[in-house]
Amino acid sequence: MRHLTDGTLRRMVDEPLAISARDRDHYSTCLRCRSKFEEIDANARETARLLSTSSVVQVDPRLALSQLHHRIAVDRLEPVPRWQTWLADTFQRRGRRFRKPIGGAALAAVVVGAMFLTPAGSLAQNFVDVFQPKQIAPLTISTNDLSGLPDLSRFGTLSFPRKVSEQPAPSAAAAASASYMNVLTPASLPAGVPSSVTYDVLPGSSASFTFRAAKARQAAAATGKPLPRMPAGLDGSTLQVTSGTAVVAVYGNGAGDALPALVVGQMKAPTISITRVSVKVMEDYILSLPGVTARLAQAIRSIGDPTKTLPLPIPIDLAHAQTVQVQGVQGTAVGDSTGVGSVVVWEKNGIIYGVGGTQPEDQILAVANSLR
Amino acid sequence: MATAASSWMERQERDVPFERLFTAEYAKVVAIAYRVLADAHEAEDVAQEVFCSFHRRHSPDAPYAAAWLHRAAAHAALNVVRGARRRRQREETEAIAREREQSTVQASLDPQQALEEAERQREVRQALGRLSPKSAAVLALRYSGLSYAEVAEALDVGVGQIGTLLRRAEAALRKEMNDAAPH
Repeated sequence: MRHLTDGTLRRMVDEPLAISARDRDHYSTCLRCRSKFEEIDANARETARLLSTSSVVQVDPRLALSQLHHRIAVDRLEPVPRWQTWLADTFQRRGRRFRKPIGGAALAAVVVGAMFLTPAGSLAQNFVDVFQPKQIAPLTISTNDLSGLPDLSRFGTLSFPRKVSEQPAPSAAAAASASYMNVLTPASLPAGVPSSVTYDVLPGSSASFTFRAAKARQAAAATGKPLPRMPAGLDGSTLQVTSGTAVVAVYGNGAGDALPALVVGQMKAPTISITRVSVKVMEDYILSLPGVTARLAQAIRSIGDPTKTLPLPIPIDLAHAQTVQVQGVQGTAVGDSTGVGSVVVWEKNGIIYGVGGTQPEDQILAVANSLR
Repeated sequence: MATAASSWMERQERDVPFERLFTAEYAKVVAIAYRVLADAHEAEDVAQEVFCSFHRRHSPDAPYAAAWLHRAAAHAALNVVRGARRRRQREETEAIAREREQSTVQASLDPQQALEEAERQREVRQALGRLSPKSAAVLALRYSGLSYAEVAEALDVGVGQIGTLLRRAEAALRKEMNDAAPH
């Protein structure tokens, strides 16, 4: 058997019971691991000595809480608008930390989001139907809508994108070369935005949902809720969403919880494909599942011609959206009326662009219009 | 009236869970900051900042609340140690305060021992400030008494990696201390 790693031996110092029986057996007979353990243990003791303090702090949480309340009242440190924290989270949504709390809902939203793009009038059957939206339209959703979405993994097989690793690029030209896109940069920056910029290129990725009748029946039986009648051909139908390569430029990278001063991004528009049934059939069925609010279902159905329109989900309780003219086309500006921050998104020539930051909407729009 | 009532309700809905979170986590947050700063007042100041920032930006019911607070406490305290301006200021007041503190808390130590202890504390904090953020944070979190699982949550890594991170951080701290020691 291989020797125990330093990490395992270090954990043995603090949590000996957390080590597997196999590792313990090896340790009991291995002189090398025991000797290494002695060294690691001594180093841990030395660290404990170094980091020891001369006294124990006695805290009074009630007093501390009243001090905090006092400070909040005096300095008027009211909670920042919830949409801004949502925006901050969005910028920081990398890695497991984000996926854990809202993973299910977010993934359901991705696939239901794909439903927005379904060609409502299509009668295509038994062949792969691929299309690419050509413009952006805001779709307002509420937190209630999101929490009420059905867990799609109980109705079929969800396949998620592989971990996408961003590739830093030293310049806009390098990012353009890596992404095969003409990377636009702002002609001018708002006052206070540092000109230091980092570029990341993100490869495209793909997510899919395959409907499974047997799983859906099981899910319905478990909850006791009736399953709507299943259309022919739905069993085994696969909807796939493939996002394009993206380039993200971050100006004045925010440390810790701070938002970056400005973010400019562009992505080749995603493509959608579906097999066996029309997207209209799958859309109707998923929207009829228990939990989907009537308001959301209606909003999704009223999105217009989805083969041409990419819906931009806007949480109505956190932000507002309005239509704006940007780079000669129609786009969507998302923000709050206090001007704490905003985002402008539009699509032009098969590429989706977004500019966001902590500046008011007019400044973000000016940056968007200055992209060359 | 209805607006006042709904505003009161909203406040209650937010404040009650926040107070519960504060009561449950305050001592831990202070302990993490104290492990880095070795100064009770500064540690409580950091804890106030951390909770204030959390209160403004996050829901107290967020599943990541405790992990966020622990990580923020470590980073905020390390930022204090690293801040050159603050550090100089701190060292001057620290020397006076510690002398005073040592004379009461460590009445059994002789003045020479107390002076050496104060000097050791200062060197350790400076060495912590020179470590990589992750190494310094793992030491602050673990040596303030958090379990491996809590440290893993705070640093957003698998619990199986904590032993390795700790081992590296301890070796790095030792090296920093040795390098700083007069030869």
